[in-house]
Amino acid sequence: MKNLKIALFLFSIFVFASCTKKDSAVVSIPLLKVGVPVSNAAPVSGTIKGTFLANQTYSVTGDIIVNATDTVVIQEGVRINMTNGANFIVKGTLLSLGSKLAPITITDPSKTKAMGNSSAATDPAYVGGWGGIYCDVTCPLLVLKWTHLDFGGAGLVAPPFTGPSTGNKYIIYWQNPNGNFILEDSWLYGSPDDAVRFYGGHINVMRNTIEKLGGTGGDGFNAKGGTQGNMAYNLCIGSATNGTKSANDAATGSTQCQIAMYNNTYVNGGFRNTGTYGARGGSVEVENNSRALAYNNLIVDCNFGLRIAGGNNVTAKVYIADTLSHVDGPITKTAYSHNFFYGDNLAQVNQFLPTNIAQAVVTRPQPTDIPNMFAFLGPTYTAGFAYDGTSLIGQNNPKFVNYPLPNLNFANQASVDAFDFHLQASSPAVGKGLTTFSPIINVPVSRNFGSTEITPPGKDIGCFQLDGTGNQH
Amino acid sequence: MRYSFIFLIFLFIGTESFASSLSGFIYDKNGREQLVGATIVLQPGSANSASMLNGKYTLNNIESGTYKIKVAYLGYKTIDTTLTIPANADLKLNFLLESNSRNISTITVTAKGGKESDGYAKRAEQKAENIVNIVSANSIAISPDITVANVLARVSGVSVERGNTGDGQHAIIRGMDKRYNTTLINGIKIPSPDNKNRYVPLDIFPSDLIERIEVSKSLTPDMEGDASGGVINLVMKTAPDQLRIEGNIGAGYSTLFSQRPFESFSTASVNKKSPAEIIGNGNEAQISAFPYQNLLTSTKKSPINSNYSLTAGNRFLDKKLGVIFSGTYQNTYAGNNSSRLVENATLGPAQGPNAGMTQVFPQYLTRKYSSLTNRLGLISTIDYNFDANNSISLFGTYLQLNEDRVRQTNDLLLGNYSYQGYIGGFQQSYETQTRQNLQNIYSIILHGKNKFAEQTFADWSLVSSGAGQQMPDMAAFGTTQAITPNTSGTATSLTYSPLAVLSEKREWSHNTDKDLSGYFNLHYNTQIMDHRSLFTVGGMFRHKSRDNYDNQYSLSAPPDANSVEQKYTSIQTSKFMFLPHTDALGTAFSNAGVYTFNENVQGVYGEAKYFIKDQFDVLFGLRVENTSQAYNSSLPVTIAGKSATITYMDFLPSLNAKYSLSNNQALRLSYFTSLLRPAYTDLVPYRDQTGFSQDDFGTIGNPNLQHTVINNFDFRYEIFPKGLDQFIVGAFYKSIINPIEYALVQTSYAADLNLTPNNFGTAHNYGLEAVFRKYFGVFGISGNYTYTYSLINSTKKFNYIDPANNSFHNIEVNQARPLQGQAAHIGNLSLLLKSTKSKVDAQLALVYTGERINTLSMYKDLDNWERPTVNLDFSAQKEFGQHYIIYMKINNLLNTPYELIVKQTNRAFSGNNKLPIQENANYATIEKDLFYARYSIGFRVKF
Repeated sequence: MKNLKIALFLFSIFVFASCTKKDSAVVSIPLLKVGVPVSNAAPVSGTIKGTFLANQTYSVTGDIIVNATDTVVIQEGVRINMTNGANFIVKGTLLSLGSKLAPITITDPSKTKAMGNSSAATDPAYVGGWGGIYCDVTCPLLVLKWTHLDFGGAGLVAPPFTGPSTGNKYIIYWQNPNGNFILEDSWLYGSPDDAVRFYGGHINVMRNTIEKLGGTGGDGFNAKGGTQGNMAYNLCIGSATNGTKSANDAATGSTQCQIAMYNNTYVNGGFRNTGTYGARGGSVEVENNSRALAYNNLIVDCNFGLRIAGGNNVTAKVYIADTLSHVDGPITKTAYSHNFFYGDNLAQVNQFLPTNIAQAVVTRPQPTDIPNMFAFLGPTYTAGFAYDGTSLIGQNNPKFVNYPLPNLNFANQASVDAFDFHLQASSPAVGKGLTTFSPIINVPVSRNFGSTEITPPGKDIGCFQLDGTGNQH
Repeated sequence: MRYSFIFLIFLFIGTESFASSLSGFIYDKNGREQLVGATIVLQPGSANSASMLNGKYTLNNIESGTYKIKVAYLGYKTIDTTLTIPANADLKLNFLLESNSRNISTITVTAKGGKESDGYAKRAEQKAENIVNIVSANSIAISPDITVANVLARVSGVSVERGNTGDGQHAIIRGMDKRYNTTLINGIKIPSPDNKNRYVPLDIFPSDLIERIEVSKSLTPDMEGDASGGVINLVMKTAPDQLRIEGNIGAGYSTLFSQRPFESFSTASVNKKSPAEIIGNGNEAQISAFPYQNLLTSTKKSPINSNYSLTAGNRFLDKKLGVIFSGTYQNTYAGNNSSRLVENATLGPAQGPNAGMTQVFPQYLTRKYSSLTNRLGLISTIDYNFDANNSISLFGTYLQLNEDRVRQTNDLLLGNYSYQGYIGGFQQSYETQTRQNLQNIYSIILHGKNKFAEQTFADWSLVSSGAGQQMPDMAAFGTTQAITPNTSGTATSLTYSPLAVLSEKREWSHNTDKDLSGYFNLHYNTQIMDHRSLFTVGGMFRHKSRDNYDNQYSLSAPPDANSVEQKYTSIQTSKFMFLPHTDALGTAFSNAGVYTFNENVQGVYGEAKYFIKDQFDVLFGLRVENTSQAYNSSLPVTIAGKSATITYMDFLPSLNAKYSLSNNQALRLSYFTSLLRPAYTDLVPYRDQTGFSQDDFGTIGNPNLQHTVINNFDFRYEIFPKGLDQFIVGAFYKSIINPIEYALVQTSYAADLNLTPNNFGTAHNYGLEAVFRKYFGVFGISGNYTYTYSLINSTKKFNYIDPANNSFHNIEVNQARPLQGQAAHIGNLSLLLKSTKSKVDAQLALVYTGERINTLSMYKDLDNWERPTVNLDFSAQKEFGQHYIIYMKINNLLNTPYELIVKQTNRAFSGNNKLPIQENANYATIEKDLFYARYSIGFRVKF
């Protein structure tokens, strides 16, 4: 069955590729509309079903509730101004269907984005504006495409249903182990804690840009027990801790958390994490009996490289990732290689392979890494041991189109602003990716009711591909 | 006669030397029991003596001649006679005293005087219809205990759970958790100030107010049916027959505070109400509403405890009107030093289906508790006997226990613990927590007895009582710093980062219970075919209304400019804000902890006592109890369990049979069905994190909890040979349907563990009990031993990886275990010295409590067990003249630690991961608390 799926997938790519040779014609695509239009004549709140109409501006003044079996569609170009810390409480289906030309924006109108240096003390990105999108176990499908989610994460003043707690401040909370979660080509800007928290489910998190996530702690995408899917082609800049993380704690059954993390670009991650140096990651984290793939990731000026957590069975808060070989599941073994690290100071390069400072680590150096950490550390290296990486400082500049390196402003530059993290053609990351592994295909591919595209592994390391595929921002 | 002042009759110790002597025993005329402390006085002259523990008296060196001789004992008619003593004689003479009081037919009989004596207690035990242990005020007075809970630890089959001052708080009777036991004042159930439980914290009762404590281990139909382990009835002092004044003043000291200073804080800035209660729910509080002053602590060296009590009573109007007033005040400095390894909520899988999961400990907490407790107790009773058949009494009590507590915590994050040569933690945090806990109980009982006809009489009670607890502005301020080993291959030195301010927690909680209840019993005495029979019918109702409030605020410490944290300089200068701003609403805005709860209980019963023979009687009957409960919380309507109504009816049959083998030996058999109503918080799905988590665990109620029904069987043989000697053996069996126990579970995907009540199938609990007391002259030895076996199945999580194919399994398995809190072996042993001649009483008391489950883990095999304890206490008193007693008490002579363990191979015992407080390779010690010895001395006066 899986092979069949992959075959179909490859076939569709083949068909798609062969189609591009035809005449170019832009034919308008019908917009999905369900139920009655949502009126923007007055502020919106309460239980709704129906459609936010394209290019309209809405004001939401209180929680919006999508009841089980109901569907709410947000058409392209919609702007929703959320006030009073309002949330989307989704027990049914929510489809936010922006497009490249007409993205959707959901924001707190009282806040404006600040360029340049970002301080945890003063940047309004970290205090939460509107609430979040809280999806109950009855939510079968959440689709967010080409959607800006800015300034989310106001604390819940009351749990909307059994699961989340008062004070939770996520932008998206997901707890349906059988549902499908699609977050594609979107932007998340600013949150006080983890931006997206998954407790199970099938996910495809692809081609997004996430900035300034986590105030003084928190990850970008944090998948917990039983979550399976992809986190790929995302540009993660200025995350408080990790950009992507998988951990199987809080699992309700024997389904393990399995996430394919590939072709992501992580810049300036892990510098707003208070407390113990070394207890948390700064780019990619795999822990607590979860399985993951981590390939083709570009990790630049982050506090920590790829961390496969260990666990000493006596004092460790986090226990070991599942590094065994399996016959079941979409990921048969935690595997990683072809990751690219760049650091501008000794602390960063000494953690390309994170050491056991406060938490045991079992990440092994790989000869396909750039730099070649296997060669650098030698065959006798013990995972987790400290090493002297002085000679790695400033080596292997990935040559972004517009982001000067070396750059010692890593702890402050937490947003993309006018920078451009596409690779120059001469980048050492170009063409170094591994393309022979399969992403996880467990969500439908559909213009409105599923993933636009489960982008296969890219040959260039990082989220932007020279051939124009990958992240479209 | 002034029976209650019989001890005052002592005049002077005889010093003249003559050849004759007089000795013998003083007996109870009916029971032929030896009486202890009865006085014998010869006149003229000053020869006098008192009977010893075995009832023997001796008068030496008596000049020959004719004497008036007077033998007196509390509660007995005095013998006044004349006797001629020849010279050089060695006379043996026994005296038989006739009881002055009515027969003790039931334990609630209103005998006059002497009810505080051991002898009374023993006789009441003997005469009781059911299985009862009684502790008299006299034995409390000479015991090392100042609270009721500590006294109870010396009753057979009773073990106590201690609070953070080392004082007992709750009783576990025959292995049945505290929830299975009820506490009564003068036979009436009282509400609890505890915010979680129905059971009353027993350390609120000063022992000075108590006439006696009755622990009933079986129920009769006239008793409320919700006690399965036992009923603790605190019988308060009642009006004496004539003027009585007693006072006590004492001082004490805890050796803990010679190890370290006592810490206190100023309660002046503590606001009794939370900001949301002042400005209205739904409004955002200002930071200024959270003053820092109550977080500043100061130290005191070697503080002195004090306690005072005064009792005055008399009888007026031809002895028809009796009045007693008793008050006590105790001011105690207590505390403990605690070390704890924090258990991680999520654990790695076992390495195979037959391997075990391993509990890991990411943090090590060391804590210093300092508690100043004020205990105030007041009681008053006015009774009026209209005539022999009609009486009425009004009883009132007010009890207050205020605790001001400082808790200093050092929290070491262990992380990977060992790192290339460095062994130690990677972050340490400090927390100052201050807490005021104000608890009170009041009760007003109007009680009457009326005899309508020769064979028919009634008694009734109308009761209004209440209990409350307030914890205003519990505050916690914390700082943290990273510890970084300086790495160059092998770590040789450490860098401590500057202290950073953590978010601050403030919490207000309070709860009140109000009970209105009424009891009515109608008794009918008759003869059926020449067999004595007593029929009783009755009923009761109780309306309880309860409210609970909890409001927690989290104040974030904003980072300094261009930093991710706020550097600590002082508590005063630390800056806080609400982040997000909705934190300023407080959790009361939407919190299942804000709720009201009503409960109506109606009970009716009928019972008959039938004498098959004079020495063989049975008491049987049926009780029906109807329960209806309702709660409403401030949870949002979208959450299941916001409110609920629950009703059930129980039919509770019982049978108590007593067969007297002789007048000092009896066999007893009892069967009864009882129930257990879940506590209010057991039902309300409120996540209570009082103490900001880590105060052990948060708790969440379960509205789907079923009430428990218990079938109890008891058998007992007792013999009361002579004097105060006794020997009792018994066996019991209980089948417990739907027992309620707290287990650690992970709820709502939060990574933290919470304790949640659940039903656990059917449990079986059985055991053996033995009690003995034997006196040899001035020495006595008493003890008891209880063996309890219980079995219950609980569902545990078990995660493992099957090495065959590396597949991961997260399954639930059944695990058999004893009931929570039940120790297989409980024993008490006391050595007593009771010299009536030198008027010295002393007691060395030992309590052994075997290992028992403290907390259930959600995981297989990882329950927390409490290690066996041996507590040793000593007390002594000496009476001077007629009115004065000095006493001393030493508690916790052995400085017995409170220790919790997890029974797993102890990887933390040796090697690079050796952790503190570990003592054995076969189990991991996760908590060790030390309380140190406490001394007190005092002075008592009685007139």
